[in-house]
Amino acid sequence: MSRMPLPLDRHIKPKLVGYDPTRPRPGVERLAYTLFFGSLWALVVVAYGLVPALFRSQGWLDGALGFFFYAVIEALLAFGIAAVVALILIVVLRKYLGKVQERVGPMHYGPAGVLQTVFDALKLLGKEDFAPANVDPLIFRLAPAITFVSAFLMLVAVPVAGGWVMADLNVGLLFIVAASTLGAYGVVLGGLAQGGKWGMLGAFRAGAQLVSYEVPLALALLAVGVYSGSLRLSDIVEHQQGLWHVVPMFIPFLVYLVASIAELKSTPFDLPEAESELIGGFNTEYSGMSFAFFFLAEFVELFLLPALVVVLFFGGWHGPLFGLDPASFAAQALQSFYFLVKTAVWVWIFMWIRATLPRFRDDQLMDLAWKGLLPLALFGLILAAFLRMFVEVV
Amino acid sequence: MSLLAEVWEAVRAIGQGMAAVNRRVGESAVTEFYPYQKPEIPPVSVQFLALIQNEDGSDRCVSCLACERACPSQVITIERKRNPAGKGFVLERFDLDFVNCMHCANCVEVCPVSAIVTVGDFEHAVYDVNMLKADKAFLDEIGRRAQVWYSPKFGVEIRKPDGSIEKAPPEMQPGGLAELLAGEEGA
Amino acid sequence: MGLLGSEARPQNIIVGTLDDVINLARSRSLWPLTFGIACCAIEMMAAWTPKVDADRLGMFFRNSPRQADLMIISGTVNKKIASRVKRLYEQLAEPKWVVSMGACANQGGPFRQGYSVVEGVDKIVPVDVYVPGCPPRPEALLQGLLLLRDKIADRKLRYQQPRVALTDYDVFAEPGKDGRVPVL
Repeated sequence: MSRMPLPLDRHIKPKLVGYDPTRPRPGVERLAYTLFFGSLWALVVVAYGLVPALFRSQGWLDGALGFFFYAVIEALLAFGIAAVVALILIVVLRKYLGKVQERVGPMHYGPAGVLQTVFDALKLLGKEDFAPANVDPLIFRLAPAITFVSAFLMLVAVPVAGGWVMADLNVGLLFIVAASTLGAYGVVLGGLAQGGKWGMLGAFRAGAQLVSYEVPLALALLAVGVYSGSLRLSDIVEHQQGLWHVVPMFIPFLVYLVASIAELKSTPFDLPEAESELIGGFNTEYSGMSFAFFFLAEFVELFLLPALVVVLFFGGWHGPLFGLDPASFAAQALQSFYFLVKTAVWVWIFMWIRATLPRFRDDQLMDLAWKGLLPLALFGLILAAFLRMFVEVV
Repeated sequence: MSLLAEVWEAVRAIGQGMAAVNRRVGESAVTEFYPYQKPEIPPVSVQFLALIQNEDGSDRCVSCLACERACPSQVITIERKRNPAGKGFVLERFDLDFVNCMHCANCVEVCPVSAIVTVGDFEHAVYDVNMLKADKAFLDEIGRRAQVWYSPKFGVEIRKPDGSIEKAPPEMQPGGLAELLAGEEGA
Repeated sequence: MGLLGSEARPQNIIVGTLDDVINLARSRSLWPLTFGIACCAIEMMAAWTPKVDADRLGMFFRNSPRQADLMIISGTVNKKIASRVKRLYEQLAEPKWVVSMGACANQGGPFRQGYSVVEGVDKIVPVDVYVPGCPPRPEALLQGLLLLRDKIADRKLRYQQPRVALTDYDVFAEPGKDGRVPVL
């Protein structure tokens, strides 16, 4: 029997590439997070402060063409903010879950693993975008876009500093509710359009959960609107000049917190995509960029829902200004810094909840929404009306 | 009031859980960074097999075919011929099909001269499955490279820097099988 | 072997560089499919536990084959599950890779002459990396995954596509019904 001559040295060792964590380099991780935060802040300052100020000072906003360019640039910048937020939050969430589980999370690619999400995004870009035979092609392609656009729309209405908001709507609260409900459409349609049982079950669960929790969420928002006397988000933040809403509006705050975690579809409310039961639920059949859009939307919402907690209950951009004129650019930049810091704290709390709690059962989920949160939210609404009528804490 | 008590119980439990999670964050990770830090694996844990040669370069193996007979997966193939110079046999071919080997180390247990031993070497993934079909040259190469190995008859042995082979000090020996066998021999 | 697939190598410098960048990203974010067959699956899970933590290297399990890049065949592939393995492989979105873990998946291992066992998963799906062991320890699996990473990132190795091993019998059929009758 003739045998192929085989090389004697058959040990193939993997190459040592990337960040070596065994070499002590203190502060790299901290520096990376500082850079993350700094880049996000810089992007916010450019998008909300510099570009509008430039367009207003030059008077370009009066013409239709100038307004068109303004809108295009702002949309691109908002997309940039969304992308940067998602890139940061994905790697931060993975590192945080790693820390909770006494491991390290992404570590080797980029300093302390900060480039991991970049590689993930590039990989998803080059991945086959597959549609099975029995899907509804139009809705299947449309659903991730709907979900992402809904998350993206919420970004438009959030004020980050005094006068710094992309669209200062006088019905901001209603707009927020409408936009987040649109996200539920994307999830339900995407699940149903793929023609598989996992997607269908995920869509049913998503529909039940998101519609149920929309009710206490809207009532909690309404309580805040009643108490502050306006649906405009800037006015709500201004109303918290003396006292943050979390003190008088504590019950709506609790309702909003629970309902927004349910809207986020993160643990303990991750029934629509329950990976251990429904192998991904509504995004089972999505691959490549379609899946990336669901992923992106989830993490943009992980930024926006804590941001709304801050705007509605924790004083938005308010903070010590050290004698600066509130209308000056430096004061506004400082205010946006306060806003981002508060949001970061709330993102951390959302991640903390996600790392702690196990998943609900279906009936427990419905019990909590209809028997627990809905009466509580109604009580909070009545309380807000009474406070508005008799106490007048303004 | 039972409702309020229930709610309070739930809030308290969630708070306890979240506090426990937060305590974990401060603790240091237990992770070993594998490609950068290799785990210290004792040779007693069966990771790979090797043929050991004596200090003068001759085979320890005496071609008794005990391992071939003992192998439950039937992956060892030995060919031998009579030693023309003296008594005994000369090894012509010793093939060990690592693809199908189930790492039970029965061959190591039955070997009368501790020629086939277990080593703690585990990095053997390949792109081509035929690379795992080991012949005598490859097994000898692993044996030459090994610094420490184990067989029940001689216990853990180490290779000194000057190339001589010695029995390892007692603190390196495993507590179980070697002493058991030594006790049986003594009785 | 080096000639296989060499026609597919891009000649254009720009396309080639872009190809390298995308493949670098692919090699750094390998998401395996949550799919365990037998005892090797326990060691596969152990590779994601805090002690070894393959998440460091950008790998985490995806439950849907559409979103996974990689399939770790961890255990004995019986004739009953062979068709499912094949279907799951076909459901993976391109580009996709397969790591065969343990003796049974490599060539049948101790069960290779059994009536119900496929003698090696490379009879059904093309395998990129073989990890020996019974079962391999978690670090050994991680070494195999890192070899796969190096293969994807390497220009020369990348275009050597593995092939399904040819057999003269029907792998999925029962022995006696076109499946090979084992000779003991």
